[in-house]
Amino acid sequence: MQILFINNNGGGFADYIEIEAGTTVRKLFDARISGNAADHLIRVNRQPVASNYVLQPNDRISMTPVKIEGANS
Amino acid sequence: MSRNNKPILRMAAEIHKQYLVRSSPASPIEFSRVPYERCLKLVRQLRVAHSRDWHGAAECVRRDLIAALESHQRELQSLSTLLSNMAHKPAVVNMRDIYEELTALHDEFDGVSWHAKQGTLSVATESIRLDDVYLGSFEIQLDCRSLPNAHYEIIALDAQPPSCNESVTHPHVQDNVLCEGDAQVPIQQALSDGRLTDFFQLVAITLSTYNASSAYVTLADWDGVPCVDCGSNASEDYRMSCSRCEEVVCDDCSRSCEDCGDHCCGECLGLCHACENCYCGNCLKRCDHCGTRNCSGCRWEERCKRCHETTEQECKQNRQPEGQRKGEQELEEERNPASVPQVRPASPDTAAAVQSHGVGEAAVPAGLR
Ligand SMILES: [Zn+2]
Ligand SMILES: [Zn+2]
Ligand SMILES: [Zn+2]
Ligand SMILES: [Zn+2]
Ligand SMILES: [Zn+2]
Repeated sequence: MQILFINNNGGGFADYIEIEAGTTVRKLFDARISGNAADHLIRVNRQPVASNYVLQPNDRISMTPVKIEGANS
Repeated sequence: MSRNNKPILRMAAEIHKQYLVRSSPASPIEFSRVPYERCLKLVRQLRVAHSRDWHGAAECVRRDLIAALESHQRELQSLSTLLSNMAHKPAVVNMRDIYEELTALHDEFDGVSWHAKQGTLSVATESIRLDDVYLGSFEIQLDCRSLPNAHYEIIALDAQPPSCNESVTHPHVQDNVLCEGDAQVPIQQALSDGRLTDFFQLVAITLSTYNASSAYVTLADWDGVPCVDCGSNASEDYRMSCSRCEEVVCDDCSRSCEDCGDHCCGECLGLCHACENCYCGNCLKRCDHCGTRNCSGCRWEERCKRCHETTEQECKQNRQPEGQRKGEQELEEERNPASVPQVRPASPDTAAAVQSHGVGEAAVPAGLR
């Protein structure tokens, strides 16, 4: 099934991806992002969700790190 | 749709227009020469500091240059990533997406405000404290008229600038502009996709993250004040004020007066002309004869020792004419022959000194003493 996956780490990638039915938020995070899920804001259809939420077809999921370093010039 | 949502709907319609009228599918590439020029300027400053042996300043500039080079490097990397991402199809942003974004924005942030006249959409961050330095909260004000380009300002709602730079309100914000660093590409991508909530979240997260290696003013220096001598930013426990001019001087540059012990800046200290030690302006006095500045140990009343000794001799010579000196000597020989030395005094000064001292003391010429 297809979902919209938005990854705000690094390049700010947003695209439709294929996942297996029954994939949870945690499983998708572990597969796609290195690091700790607790260090990310995860929203499904723009709402906070539990990590064991099972993704549904056409869900929109975004993952945003809670620390991003600014610079000085 | 309920009545409450009407303002959001109007907002969404306005913003959506911007996405419809965007002329080219790709947002223009922004490439500033400012970071490069900053690196060049720092290289020049470093050269000057080295050539003049300003060690403190050279160290500050060296650190700034490393940070500037790293930041420039990151910016180039971001640009290259952005160019790679352009291969993706441009997102089609529809009205419903914008409406949902705006609704979510109200859930995620307090203080969402829309100024239709200026076309700005703003949110307020929570109060930010980084490394125990209170920075207050910030308004992130997005200029929706330039969407999908990222034109926005960071306005400090309770500005706490460092003492050394009023235009810096956050380690990564100067003149209301956030230096995005690692957030640059995700921010541009979010606006290009119409993901307004992501945009505000990315900016708010960047504001609540501190990158000491690349800050306009580091938090360690937040309470710092520039040293009047070397210009480096001196923190509270690494500076003092000059006891004469009251300017701030860093521990490296401050020196104490050899006489009174007061700590002074370089401007307010001078060298004694005679002994060449450091003294404050209070403890150095100008010789009223030759005009040089001398410490208390190297002067006699209003004159430097040298001038004092010279004038002293001249005075004595003037006070005792030849005939008088001869008469005195003969009188003394008559009165007390034992006290008269075999060697005749070399100078009239010595003879006078002997006379004034007690009985039985043999007068020895100055040169033999
Ligand atoms: Zn200094
Ligand atoms: Zn001074
Ligand atoms: Zn002094
Ligand atoms: Zn002296
Ligand atoms: Zn003199």
